[in-house]
Amino acid sequence: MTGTSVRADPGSSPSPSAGVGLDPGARLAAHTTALRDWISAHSADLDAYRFRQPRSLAAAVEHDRGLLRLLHDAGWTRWGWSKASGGLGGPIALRAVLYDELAAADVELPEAFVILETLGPVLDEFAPALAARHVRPYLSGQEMWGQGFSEPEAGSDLAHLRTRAAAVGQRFVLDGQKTWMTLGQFAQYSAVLARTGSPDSAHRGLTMLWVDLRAPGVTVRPITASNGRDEFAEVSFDGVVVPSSAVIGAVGRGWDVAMFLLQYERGMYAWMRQAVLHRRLRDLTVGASASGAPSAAFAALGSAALAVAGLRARSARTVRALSDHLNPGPDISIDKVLLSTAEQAVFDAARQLRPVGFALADSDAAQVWREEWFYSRASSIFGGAVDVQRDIIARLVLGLPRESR
Amino acid sequence: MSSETSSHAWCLACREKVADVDAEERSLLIDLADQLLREGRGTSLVAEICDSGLAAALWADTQAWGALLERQGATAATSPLLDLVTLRDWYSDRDHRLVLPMPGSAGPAARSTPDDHVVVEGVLLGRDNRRHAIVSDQDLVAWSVPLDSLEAESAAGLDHELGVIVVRGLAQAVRLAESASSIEALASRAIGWELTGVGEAALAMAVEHATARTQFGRPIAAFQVVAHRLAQSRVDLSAARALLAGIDGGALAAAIAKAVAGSAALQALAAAQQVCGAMGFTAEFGLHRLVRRGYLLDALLGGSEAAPARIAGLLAAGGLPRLVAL
Repeated sequence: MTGTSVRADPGSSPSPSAGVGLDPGARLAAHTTALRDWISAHSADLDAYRFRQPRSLAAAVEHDRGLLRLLHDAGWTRWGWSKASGGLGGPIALRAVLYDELAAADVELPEAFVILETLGPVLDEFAPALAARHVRPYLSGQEMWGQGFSEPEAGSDLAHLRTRAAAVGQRFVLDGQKTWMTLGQFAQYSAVLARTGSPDSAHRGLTMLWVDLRAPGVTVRPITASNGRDEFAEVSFDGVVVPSSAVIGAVGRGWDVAMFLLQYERGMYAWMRQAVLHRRLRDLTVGASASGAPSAAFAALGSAALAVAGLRARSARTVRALSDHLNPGPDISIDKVLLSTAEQAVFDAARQLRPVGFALADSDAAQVWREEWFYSRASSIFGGAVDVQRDIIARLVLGLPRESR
Repeated sequence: MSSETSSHAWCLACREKVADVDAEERSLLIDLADQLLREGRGTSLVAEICDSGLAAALWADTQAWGALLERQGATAATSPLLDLVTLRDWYSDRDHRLVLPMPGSAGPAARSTPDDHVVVEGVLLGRDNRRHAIVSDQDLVAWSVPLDSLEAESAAGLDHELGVIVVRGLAQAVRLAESASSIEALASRAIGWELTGVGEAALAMAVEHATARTQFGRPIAAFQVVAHRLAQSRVDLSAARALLAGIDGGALAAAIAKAVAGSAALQALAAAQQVCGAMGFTAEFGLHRLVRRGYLLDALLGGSEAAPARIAGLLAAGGLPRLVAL
């Protein structure tokens, strides 16, 4: 950070506080304008965060903490989180505006935001005491969390997970294994979905717990992904003691908490990614012209633009609904399918527009494009595979009969 | 068959309702429109809107006119709604219709000459008693042309119900101050809504058929291959509808929305044709009316299959603008 940076006082900034009395649309517009002004005034401070850090994920995570700190201290990441959770209040849409404007200013969104948007709303809604203790440290880049849902034997079929939390007095004893925990090796805490009911209780016998990953009995092992980065970790719990104050929601209601979480994991995540995908399209459009690129690659760029435009339009509606505290329900699966399609369209266009770089170059830039192309293959798998999403749409949105077994 | 299908389609479409203060008033208008369109009285519908002084309110309410065009698509009906919402008072009070470029062409319907003449080759959708037309030229200038100075020929073609008239000729024209690009953007959006209506109705027919039709001892919708194809139609149409509802008036936004809508409609039609099987192939079933309408509408102002390359060419160095605001 440069010495010339001025620390903005969110209380005096012309953001939502100045917009009180205006209608919600005007407040959002006023906030957006104030944010854009701040971003351009702090352009030099943000320069360090305009590029994705290649290769070392650990270095990238450390690097991102600086951006989190900067945005927290200026107040921007606190808007849209309740005051009880350490935020500055205002509608959830204020968070969406931040992600959109940062990406529009070519700032790379830290992966930490993804985890924040997955677990933050759940703490805020179901565990106010935990939210009050943990949201601000996360926003300021001091703390990191992990999402402990998937297991080696429970991916798409999450309700059949086997990690067990046995009630012993005022505590739970946790045993089992979680996997695909994004950035799990850097996390101090994890929201763990565990079985408190009988082994055959399916989705009815689950409880969400807030687990300290530094507790005795926790082992975290990073998993090297196909893109070469340690995107995820595998976490095992061996007799880990969890206090009953760490229950998120209620015992036996973990599935409800998970379903609440999924609307953000699918809805706000899709919004964040559309912002990033607009930025990637901007990079790809520079230098791609009808004469310069093979016609198939050029058409792939157009297809990607159409997919991203549709994703943004759909996602904006969803974010508005979330901001109005309306649960999109099974319709959120539509956003997830659109997201996967758009992700893969953009990075497939990149691959076709830069075939030599994609295949042969070892520059940081080529490395990053390849990493992201690989990661886009996972976008139709994580957060509920698109095939499962299509099942949900068929059954719960279109009302088609369930497949006989 | 078609009326049942269309009301089903509309219920499906209503699942994505947008909260709005004028919702009640709008739904009354939409109900009336639905009835008149299904009875083949689209011309009366538009005349009524004009005579009752509702036209200006309709132009200002993009959700309402989008919904009317979507109804028109879902019922494969015809009316001068496209002319009304694109040309506005040039249609309602000033005796003009809109000439669209020939199917498959994304270019203008006319070329102007330095001596204020235009060479026209394009289509009018359906019959109407207006005596003038508005065409746009190679420089996106709008011109007013007397229709009696052009050759007009009915083209039954793919969709005889639509009543397409091909107009051609060289005519003296009057240069207008109106922006041809805004007119074209409105036309793209209007046709886009009509296409999502076609797609929604096709999806509704396919859902109904796949639920009722039993083979191998179960409804065919219980087979994942069938279910996923219809689910994908739901996804594509939802994106198209969100885009049409969310964009402002820009030309690029309208072209993108129309391309997404056209693609969603064609995919929904293809899925419906496959899922409805041999029954869907009969004239009695009625799906063919939507197929004919959908493919014809998609080809207007540039077809969706050619759109990716065309849209890529329209992206400036800034990439894809953020077309929809939060």
